[in-house]
Amino acid sequence: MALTKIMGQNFRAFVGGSAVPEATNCQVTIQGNLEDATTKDSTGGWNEEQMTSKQWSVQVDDVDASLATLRALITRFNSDSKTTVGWDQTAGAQNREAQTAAFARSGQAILNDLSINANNRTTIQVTCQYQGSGALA
Amino acid sequence: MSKTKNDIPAIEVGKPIKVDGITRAEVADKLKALKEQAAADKLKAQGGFIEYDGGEKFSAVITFVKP
Repeated sequence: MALTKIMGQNFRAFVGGSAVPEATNCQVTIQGNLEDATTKDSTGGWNEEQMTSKQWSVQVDDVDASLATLRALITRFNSDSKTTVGWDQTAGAQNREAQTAAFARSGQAILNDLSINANNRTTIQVTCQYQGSGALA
Repeated sequence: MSKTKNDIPAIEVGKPIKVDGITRAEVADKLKALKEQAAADKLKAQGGFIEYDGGEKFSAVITFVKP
């Protein structure tokens, strides 16, 4: 039996409870930081590792490039404030209805990277990265 | 806002409904109950993303509209 696969357009980032409108791509990164826990008890010549901390982030590319959005993003960046960020599977009108998928997660995050790419005669492209602060659940 | 016997808020078309709980599953169950109730009335959902506040609470805001 074929496994059910999730299409990229239906995996969306959510910021402040809403799917990020008009985005073309999102990337979720969850990382664990490891520490060498190898001791003289370790056998076979293999290292042993233990997780010392975890971190997560969500990057969203080509968000809605409107004046209002850009202003809101810069204000959010300057405020250093945390906001709810996460991801879920989507469907429905404008593909923005959260499906409460088993892999959906959210947490508090800080907008720590805002890139604006302005090519001649094209709409600007805005990329945001939210760095998780605290648990992802 | 009135609530049903299962502590699920009553649906008012076009009005956002906030549900919360101490686990993701609890909020998901409440959303599911709301969606089932809305499906009977042929309403469409908007939103419904479960947010985690970083502490001990999960919540979601969902709005039902006429298609």
